[in-house]
Amino acid sequence: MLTKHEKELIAKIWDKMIPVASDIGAECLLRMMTTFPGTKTYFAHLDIRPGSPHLRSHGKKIVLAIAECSKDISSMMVTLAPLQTLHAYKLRIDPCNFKLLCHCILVTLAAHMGDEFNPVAHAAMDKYLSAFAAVLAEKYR
Amino acid sequence: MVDWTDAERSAIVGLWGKISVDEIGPQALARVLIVYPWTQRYFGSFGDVSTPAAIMGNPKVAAHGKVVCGALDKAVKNMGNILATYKSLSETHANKLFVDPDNFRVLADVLTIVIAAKFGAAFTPEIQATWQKFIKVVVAAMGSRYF
Repeated sequence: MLTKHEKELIAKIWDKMIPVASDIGAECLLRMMTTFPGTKTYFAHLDIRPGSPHLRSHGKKIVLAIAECSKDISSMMVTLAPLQTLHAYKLRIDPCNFKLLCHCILVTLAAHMGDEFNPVAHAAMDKYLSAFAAVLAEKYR
Repeated sequence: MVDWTDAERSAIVGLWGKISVDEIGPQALARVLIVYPWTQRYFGSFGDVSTPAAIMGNPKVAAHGKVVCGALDKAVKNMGNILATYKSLSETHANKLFVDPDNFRVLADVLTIVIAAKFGAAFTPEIQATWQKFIKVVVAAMGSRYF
């Protein structure tokens, strides 16, 4: 359950990430794959070494999708419909991995924002990312 | 048991050496209570925890945060035997405090984020991975005496 203030805060934070989407996205993925090596199994077809263009372009896609959705959180089910289908029928990433990436997104945001990523922002962002992950997994079964 | 390379040991000792429990402990516990409000169920005697501001200003939360994070020192000093180090603390949490062991993982995740906020880019993906390996062992040890 997100308050109006929390939704505005989330949108504001992601808006700042759009110009640096490749950097942020690549860092989130790198943190996830370094801490949770099992997640690397989904990227056997890509070059996932630090700084690789694959990591940056893939990371950018993820950050932009999260940022886009944050502009109108109430419409999440509609905005994410194509990604729901993609993840359920083509990618079929085990949804237990979504929370691993969400955690690494929070770590990345904290590392970049420092004190600005205060407890209220942290709570709002954790709720948003959990909801995002749940919606993404909706079509799996 | 758990294997630690020299690089991993020195990364953990190095990171812990830069951390002030008095600073990080209160922040981590306050965040747990704010981000996961149901955890407040364990702190009925702590007074006002009704808002983020109340939690962040609550002296009992701060004091307890120092106690909880201070206990990590034992793990840093006994990396070769974390399981045995936390045996009695695990038993206390299971049989006297009745704390759901999932909360150990929750605190570990929040602590990682507090550390990231403090150290920024210096908390590299490699250091994060080593820290998370360490904290995962601590979490497992804390949950080991629940039957």
